[in-house]
Amino acid sequence: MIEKLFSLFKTSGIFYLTPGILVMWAVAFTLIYLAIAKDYEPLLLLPIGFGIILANLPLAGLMDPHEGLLWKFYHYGIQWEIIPPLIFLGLGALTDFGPLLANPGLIFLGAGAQAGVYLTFFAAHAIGFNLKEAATVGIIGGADGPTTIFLAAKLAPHMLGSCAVAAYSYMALVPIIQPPIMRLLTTKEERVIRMKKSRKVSQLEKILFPIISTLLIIILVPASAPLISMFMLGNLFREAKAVARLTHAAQNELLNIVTIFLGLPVGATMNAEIFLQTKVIFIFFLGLFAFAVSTATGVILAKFMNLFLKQKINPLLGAAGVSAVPMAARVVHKVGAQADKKNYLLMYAMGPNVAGVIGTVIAAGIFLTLLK
Amino acid sequence: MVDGLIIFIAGLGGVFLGMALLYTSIRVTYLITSGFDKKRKKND
Repeated sequence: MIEKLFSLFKTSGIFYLTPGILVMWAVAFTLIYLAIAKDYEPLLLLPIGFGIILANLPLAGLMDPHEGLLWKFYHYGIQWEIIPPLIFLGLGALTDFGPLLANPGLIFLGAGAQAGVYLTFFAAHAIGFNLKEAATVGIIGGADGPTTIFLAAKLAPHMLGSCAVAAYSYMALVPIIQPPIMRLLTTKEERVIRMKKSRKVSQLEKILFPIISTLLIIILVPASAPLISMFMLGNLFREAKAVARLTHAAQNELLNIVTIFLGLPVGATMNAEIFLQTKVIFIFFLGLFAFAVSTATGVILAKFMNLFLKQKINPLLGAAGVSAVPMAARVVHKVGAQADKKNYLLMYAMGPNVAGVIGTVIAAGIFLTLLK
Repeated sequence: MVDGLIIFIAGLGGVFLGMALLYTSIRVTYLITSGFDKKRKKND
């Protein structure tokens, strides 16, 4: 009987706990705390945190290839490229391209911020990451979680969890990371520049934009097709105003469901053997560097554009090219309002903000084309 | 390192090219649709 009891104990996970597993539990509890108590990207950090706990339960086998429940979510959802494009379908249905169409010149600010992605890629490669790993680290600077996950799953699956957590953590910290850089690079006179009143955008333009941009972007960068096609389809649902049920489903039920099935397996990729490496420290450091450089390059490009424009633009708008939607646009508005409280920059900042999303997807597509 | 530099230049260039194409398409769409709107108002 005692032998049977002993064998029962041996089949429990207690004997297989390691210090690494306990550290991962601490990481998971930290993310869950930040999500619940601090409201830091709770929709993603909460399931990611719980996924980390589940992946670090000895003998549970939830990430066992072909067998484990979370492995199936990961394999069929992320490796098969289903969940990130579905997230983009929902995001497209939530996105209003009106501010961008009213001020199309601001689209280049969305490209300027991608300089941070490529500078970080170059820096990561210079310090020892291989090209695929460096691209995965660099894309964190795009501040776009689903694109980071999409690219990591293709180029460096072993870094998926750490890159996703870095991206979502820094997205939550945009209001802390961006303002000092924005103030450092602009003068008070520049921050109070008021934007020209936007023209009215017709419904026909809003309907044509997702169709034309899908054609152009996918012809230019075919590897971006899964994300761009779904993003623009969602937007077409929204702007067509003929499929209200589909728009509502994409914005709500679908987006909520796929968010659950994105967060859990991403967290579950972070087991102790993979996560507790010195490279992860570099990933978090480089991720912060990427966010800071993307902010700076966006602002610098806006100042550069002002050298040639008759109607000057507020250079703070460049910081919104970092595609953390709508957080980066809100930060631009807030910093602008601190210099002149009657200066309403939010709607103008939404233009480069959504352009940043497109820019990050193009950047990811180019990485995939050159490296896969 | 050379590969990294090539990807850096090609990548950033590609992003700006993509945005330039989108900018052009937005301007062209605006020109076409504003002409369409004017014609419709005239007919009304």
